[in-house]
Amino acid sequence: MADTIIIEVSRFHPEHDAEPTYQSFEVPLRGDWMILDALNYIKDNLDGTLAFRWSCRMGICGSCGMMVNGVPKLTCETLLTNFAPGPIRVAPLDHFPVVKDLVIELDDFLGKLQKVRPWIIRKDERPPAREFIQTPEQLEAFKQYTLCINCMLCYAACPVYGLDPNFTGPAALALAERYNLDSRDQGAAERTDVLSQHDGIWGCTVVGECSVVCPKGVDPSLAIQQYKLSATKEWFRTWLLPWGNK
Amino acid sequence: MAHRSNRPLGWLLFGTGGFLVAFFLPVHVLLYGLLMPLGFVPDPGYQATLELLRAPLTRIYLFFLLTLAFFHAGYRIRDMLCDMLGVRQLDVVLAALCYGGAIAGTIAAFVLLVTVP
Amino acid sequence: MVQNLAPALGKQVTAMPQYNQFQPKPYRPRMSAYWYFDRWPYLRFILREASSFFVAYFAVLMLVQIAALNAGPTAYANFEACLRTPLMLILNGVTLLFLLLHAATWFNLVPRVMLREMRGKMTPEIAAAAPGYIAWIGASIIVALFALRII
Repeated sequence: MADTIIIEVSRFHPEHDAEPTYQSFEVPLRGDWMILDALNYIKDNLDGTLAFRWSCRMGICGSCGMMVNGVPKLTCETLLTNFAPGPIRVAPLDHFPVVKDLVIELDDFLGKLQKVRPWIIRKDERPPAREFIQTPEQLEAFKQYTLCINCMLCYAACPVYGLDPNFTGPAALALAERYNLDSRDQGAAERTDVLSQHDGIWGCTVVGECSVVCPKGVDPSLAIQQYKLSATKEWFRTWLLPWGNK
Repeated sequence: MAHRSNRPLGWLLFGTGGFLVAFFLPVHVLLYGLLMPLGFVPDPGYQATLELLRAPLTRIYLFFLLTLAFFHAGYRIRDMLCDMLGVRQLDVVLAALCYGGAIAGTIAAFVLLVTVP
Repeated sequence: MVQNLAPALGKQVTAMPQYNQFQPKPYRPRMSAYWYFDRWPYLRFILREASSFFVAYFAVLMLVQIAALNAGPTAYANFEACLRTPLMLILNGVTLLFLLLHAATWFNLVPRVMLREMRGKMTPEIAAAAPGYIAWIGASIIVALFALRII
């Protein structure tokens, strides 16, 4: 194996660039290095102006998502040697506005996150007398969808979101379903009012790439299709039993 | 309360149609589209096929199969054109075209199946 | 996002007119019109969706078949002759391939979702898909028996 590998990093300076360009760097090809280590090497030794987000470097904070050779990945979990002999193309996450170099603007996703109300909604907001009891079966119904780390790789993989930024998107919808399925939550109707729309769950055309790229195995595509089933049942209930209380 | 989308109805038709198309349509294509014209299986002939068509079971089966196939295709084509052409603004026009076609196909199927001699 | 730059830089920090001290301009990428050719999973998705064109086509062809049966023996003979032309054979062959794609992707995907919603937990992929395939084979055999007038 060679000693070094070429990394082509997308550079974008909002002060004087109209669009991003690629700049090549030669970094050591260490067997235990991730792409993030290579980027930090570049920043420490080769070009201190390179801007990128990272934090935990162990795949739990969701900060370091980037496009690696056209596929969204967490750079702290992607081995350099997987791409030997290279070169590797590192670009900012697709479908998001680029602030600088590899840093993207998150505001849209954070707004969508608020829109789905990802918290336990109770009819009675007073603190309960004792903790909520939940059986292992009830936990299993939604536990998989709790694993989301908001890394937005699924948004980068979703062509529907790329074509229509109004689409709520995989992670937000999966989190909404996580709370709908939670036995402690009583806000499913409230969320479905907002999300059973063309730019909510019905915008999803089941491409399935979100589930493929998710680093935590959340399977947002499954969550959204499940949500479609329950929203359809709810729709029929409102039509057939309009007097039913909400 | 926001206006709820009526997508669930179209989606349910899409789903039911998807199952029927998956179960039944491939064998129709295989037999009538390939094996019989190529002579690999014996063609029952006009009289036998007409008698099969006359049976109420056949006509009900064909009506549901064809109607739901049209609505299945309509839902998917509408979404696909939106995705491929990137024209989600024209969604209403595409929906009218696709479901208009599906309704036309349903009416045609009904008329044809009711007027079997 | 407002940035407080040092006064020495002045109001204009670049030659590009859209960018100034108070209005940084993020780069907004546009999706290519042929995005589905960029990656194989996207192309696979579009092919699956394109099967709906062939579903609609063959449903219309079945309507024509019924109309031909209604019209009489000569009309039906003409219809069958038309089906024997190379163009129609190729078209129907392609239709069959797309329908097989539809059926396979459908059985691999939809029953798993329905079971997840009903059972509240995951079913192994094969256990979820197998009943669909078995029912498909059964349905095909039954239809074939009727179509070939064995029953």
